[in-house]
Amino acid sequence: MFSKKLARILCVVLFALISIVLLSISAKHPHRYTIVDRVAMAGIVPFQDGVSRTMHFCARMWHHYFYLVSVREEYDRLKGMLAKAEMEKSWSLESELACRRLRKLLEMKSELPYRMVPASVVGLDPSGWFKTVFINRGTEDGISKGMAVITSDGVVGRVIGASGRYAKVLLIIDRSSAVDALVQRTRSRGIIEGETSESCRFKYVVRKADIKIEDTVISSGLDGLFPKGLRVGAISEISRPSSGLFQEVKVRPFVDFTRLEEVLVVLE
Amino acid sequence: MMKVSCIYLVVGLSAVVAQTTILRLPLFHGIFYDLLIPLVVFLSLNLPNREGIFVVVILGLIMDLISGGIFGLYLSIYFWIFLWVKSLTKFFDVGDTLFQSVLIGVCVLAQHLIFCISLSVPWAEAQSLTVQMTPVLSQTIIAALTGPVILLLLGRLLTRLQRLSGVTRETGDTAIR
Repeated sequence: MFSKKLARILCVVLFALISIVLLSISAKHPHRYTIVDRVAMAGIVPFQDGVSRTMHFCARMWHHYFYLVSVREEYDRLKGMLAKAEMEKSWSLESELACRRLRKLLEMKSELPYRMVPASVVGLDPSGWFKTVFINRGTEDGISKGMAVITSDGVVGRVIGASGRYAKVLLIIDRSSAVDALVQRTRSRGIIEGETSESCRFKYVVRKADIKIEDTVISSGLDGLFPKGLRVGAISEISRPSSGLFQEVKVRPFVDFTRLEEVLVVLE
Repeated sequence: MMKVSCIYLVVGLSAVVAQTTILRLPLFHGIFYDLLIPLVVFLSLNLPNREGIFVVVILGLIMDLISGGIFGLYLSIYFWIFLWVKSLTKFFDVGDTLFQSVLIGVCVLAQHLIFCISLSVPWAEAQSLTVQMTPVLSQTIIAALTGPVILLLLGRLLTRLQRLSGVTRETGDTAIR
């Protein structure tokens, strides 16, 4: 009755109408959640989830592991920069500390009426039994045997030998060292002799001399080596034996000989 | 052989520089002993008298020059250690590590005692020396522990030098190779 062509056209029209009707019904009830939707969701979403997780996993793998090659390079670069910055910081701190020490020495140099040469300690005695240091100034700088060596803290020692550019200094804490000294408060005299790296003996202080713990001991200038009035140390221990003419006194030097870096050599 | 002596002289001088600068830092205070002692022991064990004494005397003089002690103290100590160890080679197996360990420990201890005596501190003031004696024990122990290692390294250096110069040692007192 109908030709094949007409039947096809009718089918298309029918489908179009059905679609329009269904769309109209659907538009009338938007967001309707039917059992079909649930089934569809239950069937599809797990797969979506799986694929999605796999993709995320791959992306994470890429970014956190494979991509880390470049991150590692950046890390190394940053680490290098940090180390450099740390070194610069340390260097700057060291410069600041050196600057402070040198400023103190400079102030002292301008205050004292002596001609002085600054020097750096470049070496120490090879044995712990003898207390000497080497400084980087010698006869070329006017240094000669017997000259006094001081810091802003006090007396360091005296030059016992000098070459062209270096000199050897015997510290006051050496047992063979001696400094004529007096107690600043009472003017009691004695001789400072080395004992250990932390203390000196203040010998030949007469029994009747009035001295107290923490009294400051200064150089008397009578030995012809150390200028008068330079700080040597503070009295740390006094004992008066039952017999004898003198007291036994120990003095703690003001100079920290373990941290000796810059010194001044008194030329006159 | 003069070349070998010169090389050991350089090694000794390097040790002198190290122990008057780096090893005297407060960080290493009281830890390091005189590093020339293992060298003197090594020279005594491995070098003929003439070359060994030459190096020992030069190093001793240098140490005396830079030290604040009595001049000739280091020279005497090194010289006597050299002779003493040389004489021991006739009676003991000096290649034994334990023996070397004891030998170096004893030498370090002896050096400290000689220094202590050289200070000629009156008996009444001798108590103050205890402060300085404290690191002696630790240094002796460290010397006994590290001494054989230093001897071994110096021995390797000698073997290499001999290989380079094509010299074969024939002396019977060669203990460390």
